[in-house]
Amino acid sequence: MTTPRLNSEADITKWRESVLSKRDPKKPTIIVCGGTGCIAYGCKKVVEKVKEEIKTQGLEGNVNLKVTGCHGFCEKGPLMAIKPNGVFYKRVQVEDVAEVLTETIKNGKPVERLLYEDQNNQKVLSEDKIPFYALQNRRVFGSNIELDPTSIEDYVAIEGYTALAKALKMKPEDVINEVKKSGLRGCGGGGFATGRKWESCRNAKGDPRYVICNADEGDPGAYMDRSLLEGNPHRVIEGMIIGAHAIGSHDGFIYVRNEYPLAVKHAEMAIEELRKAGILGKNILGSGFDFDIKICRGGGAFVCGESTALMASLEGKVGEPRAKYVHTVDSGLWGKPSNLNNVETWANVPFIINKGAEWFSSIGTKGSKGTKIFSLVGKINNTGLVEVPMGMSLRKIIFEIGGGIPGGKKFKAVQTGGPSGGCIPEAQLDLPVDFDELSKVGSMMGSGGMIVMDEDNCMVEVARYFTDFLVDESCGKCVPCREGLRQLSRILNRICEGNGREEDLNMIEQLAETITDASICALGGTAANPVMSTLKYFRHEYEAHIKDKKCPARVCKKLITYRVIEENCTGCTRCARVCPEKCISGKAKEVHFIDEKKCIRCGLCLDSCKFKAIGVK
Amino acid sequence: MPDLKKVDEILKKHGNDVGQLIGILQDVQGEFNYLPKHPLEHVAQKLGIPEAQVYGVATFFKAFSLKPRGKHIVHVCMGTACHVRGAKKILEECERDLQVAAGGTTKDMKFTLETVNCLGACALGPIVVVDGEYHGRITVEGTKKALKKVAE
Amino acid sequence: MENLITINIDGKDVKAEKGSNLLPVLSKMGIFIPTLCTHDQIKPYGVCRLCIVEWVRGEGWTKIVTSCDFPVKDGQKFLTNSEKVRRERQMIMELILARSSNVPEVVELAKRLGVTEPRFPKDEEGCILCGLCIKACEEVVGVSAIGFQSRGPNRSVVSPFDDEAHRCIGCGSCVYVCPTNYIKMEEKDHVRKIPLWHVEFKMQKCKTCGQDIAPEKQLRYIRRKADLPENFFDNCLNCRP
Repeated sequence: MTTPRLNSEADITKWRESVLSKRDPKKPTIIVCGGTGCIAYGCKKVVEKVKEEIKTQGLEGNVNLKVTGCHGFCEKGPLMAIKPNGVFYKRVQVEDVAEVLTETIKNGKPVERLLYEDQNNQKVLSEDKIPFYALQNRRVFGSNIELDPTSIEDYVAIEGYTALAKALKMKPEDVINEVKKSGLRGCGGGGFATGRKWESCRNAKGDPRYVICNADEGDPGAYMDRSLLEGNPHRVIEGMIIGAHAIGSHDGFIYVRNEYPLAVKHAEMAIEELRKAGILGKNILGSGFDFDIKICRGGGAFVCGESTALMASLEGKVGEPRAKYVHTVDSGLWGKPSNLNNVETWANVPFIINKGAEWFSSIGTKGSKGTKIFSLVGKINNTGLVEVPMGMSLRKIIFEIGGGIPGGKKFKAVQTGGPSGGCIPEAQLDLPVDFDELSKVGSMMGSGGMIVMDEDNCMVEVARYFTDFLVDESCGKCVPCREGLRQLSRILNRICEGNGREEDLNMIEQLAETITDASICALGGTAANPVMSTLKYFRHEYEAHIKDKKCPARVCKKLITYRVIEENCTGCTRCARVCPEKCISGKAKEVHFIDEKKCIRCGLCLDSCKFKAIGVK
Repeated sequence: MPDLKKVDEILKKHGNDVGQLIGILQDVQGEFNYLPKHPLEHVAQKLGIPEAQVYGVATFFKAFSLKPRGKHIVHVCMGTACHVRGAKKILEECERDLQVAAGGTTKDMKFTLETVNCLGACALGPIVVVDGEYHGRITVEGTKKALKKVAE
Repeated sequence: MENLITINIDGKDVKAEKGSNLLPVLSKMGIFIPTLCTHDQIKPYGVCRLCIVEWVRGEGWTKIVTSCDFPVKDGQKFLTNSEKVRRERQMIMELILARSSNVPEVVELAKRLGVTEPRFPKDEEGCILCGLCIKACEEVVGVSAIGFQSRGPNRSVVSPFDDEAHRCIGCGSCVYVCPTNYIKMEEKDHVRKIPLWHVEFKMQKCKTCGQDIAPEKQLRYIRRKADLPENFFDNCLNCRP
């Protein structure tokens, strides 16, 4: 079906009705998650098999197949859902497809082994009964399961672009007021009041003005923006057009991280369709408003997630930030007023216009309204993306939605806010998650990454990891960040290698103060959070490394030794065979022995042993 | 001698827009498998910007290589979620297997091994991407197999 | 005098031009503010961070800001020598000294700030990455022959591809502004060389006295830019009629 040219709100309504009239809501649809995560699981082969089986089983015309964006329950991928009966299948392999079509589509019966099993080993039939989903409030992310991101019709079918049509009939100031009233705050980490930002930009002097979408999601462990842009590019774009109308901008940019090729592809396809439909370009929906969007790819630099560095990159320069004494809403891209918002922030805008600020702010906390999407990763059972109302406790998110820690291990800490955030220990798990509460304990909500750690993670090593990451990503412009982080990294590496000194902790604190206060941008400005928060809550680990030259979590290689637990060793020789340094000796059926001097602590012997005969001290 | 006509096509595709410099360089790298000197000087000339700016951008961003890269590109994700699940071990296995340090290319120009600071597929950590194909939940054994398969 | 505003420095009210950066105001008052990356003919780059002061925003609420690029507004209050400022300036100086431990200008400034021995391993980098050479070449001369490469601790000043800087005209502005004498220029046998940028230039001789005036390329550039006649630099300043 070709995309029609739309010249008014009425045209959208007509098109939607036409699209819906051709769809039979009773006809079963097989929905396969096609997000990057599930692609890595091999869902493409599953999709091909579904197409094949539809033909083989003579079901052509009787069942639809839809490949959507990320559904969020990444741990259980490849994911499949069947509408309208609502059956939800996990870990669907190519071998399962034929049965799904025969049993579920033809005979209306679920395939038991593919159903989700809860903690009591009860099978759960549909998505809304699975605790992972049931406890969420998927206002923004929930649409992913309904959309083929490459189909503009799918978006129109779920009332896409009705918010835009409504906004174009409103005065820009009224649009801004509605966003202000809603309490929406920036979802990329800054948490600045979106409505106020739009207002400042609108009131700034200078033309042209720009609207920018920051899709440079660089926090390791966070992939909310990727899944939103991949799975629902239209919603993000609709938000941007509304914002452009409010601010008076005719040129928009989406700056996408280099490592997100699928998001770039889907956004480009969406823009092409929107130009055909007259929703981007000149005279949008016959309103007289012009606006178009360019997509720009990043080149692999975390610092380009910082707004001034991003804008420098959009000008064809290196991603060097500049002082924010003059705000970007006054002077940003090419020295003109620029409004930059995160992907998730833009995605919230159409709801605010369609359903109103009051609806939007009906959930959340006093200072943080609405919902937030988090990526729950690391040592957690239910890895994936979750969307919850602001104010839900960390404990609920990690244990009830996340299903707790795998392998019966004990929770140790959760890192929130990526490299700009800090580690939060067990004692603080009842904190509500919102923009302000986590900052009070030395972390921050940030863009929404939540990395869960257990008893087998060394917190000094975690601080070292984040600091090394930031050294690698620092643009190098200013002394406190470039030199300060370099020296901080040196100290942390020394400590992890058993060469820590008594004065190190004091020096870390002094460095942290200057790096935080005197760096140009927020990369340096928040760089000390990982080390300072781990020092605050896990000081004993630092002291063990420095004073006792021991790593309590048995992670830091130079401080641990691998040995054979003689009572358990059966002499199967597996460990000796996988050892890359050939430092394990022993005859078959005899107890083996590890030469500590040659051992490089790679851990391969531990992985290979089936008798728990390798111990780490 | 790199074909500059291809570079002109790439510049035209991006509308000779200096704001698209990263995109332009990515396409140039896609064409030559790295960023050779003459195409970069040509880009600077056509866009009317100093070579120093193009060189600065080419050396600033991790996506670019000014040295010829191997036939097969192996990326190991070192993001936090993957790190917490043992990505370091996987990287060490790659280095051992390919006999090259991260960031380098093997002498026979068959493999380039690089680290990436998070691919955004964190549920599947640790991850290795070989020639654009994602291998999630990879073990050391799996790494060996994946590399061997490509080498053949 | 609508252009003047009032700001408060260390408890004293002072008049300043609206929108002026803070550092020139402090310098005019005779207050010593350490800097390594400023030059009055070049726009502030704000990289060394030594010029930091404390901006008093409210009761118990201050922010550390760099004075070189901070545009002042009416009523703002600053502390230029508080304990916090001194402490953080010393740490910054210590970091710079550790990186460039044998550069006399750095050692001297450090001493003035009370920093003699850095508590970090010492390196001997002659370049302090202030960027003045690059900015001078870009803003004052207008040829942008050199730039930064790479990022983070690997950042360095270089000619493109670390090869001959094609756009360089041999004017020596970079040498002139470099605060640490890192960039060297040699002249011998009527040829000027700047080894760092891999360039050499034939010098133009005065037609009258035979003394070297400047590189031919530089003079060609100036003639073109200022639309001067071909023979404008045939004679040196002393020999002009």
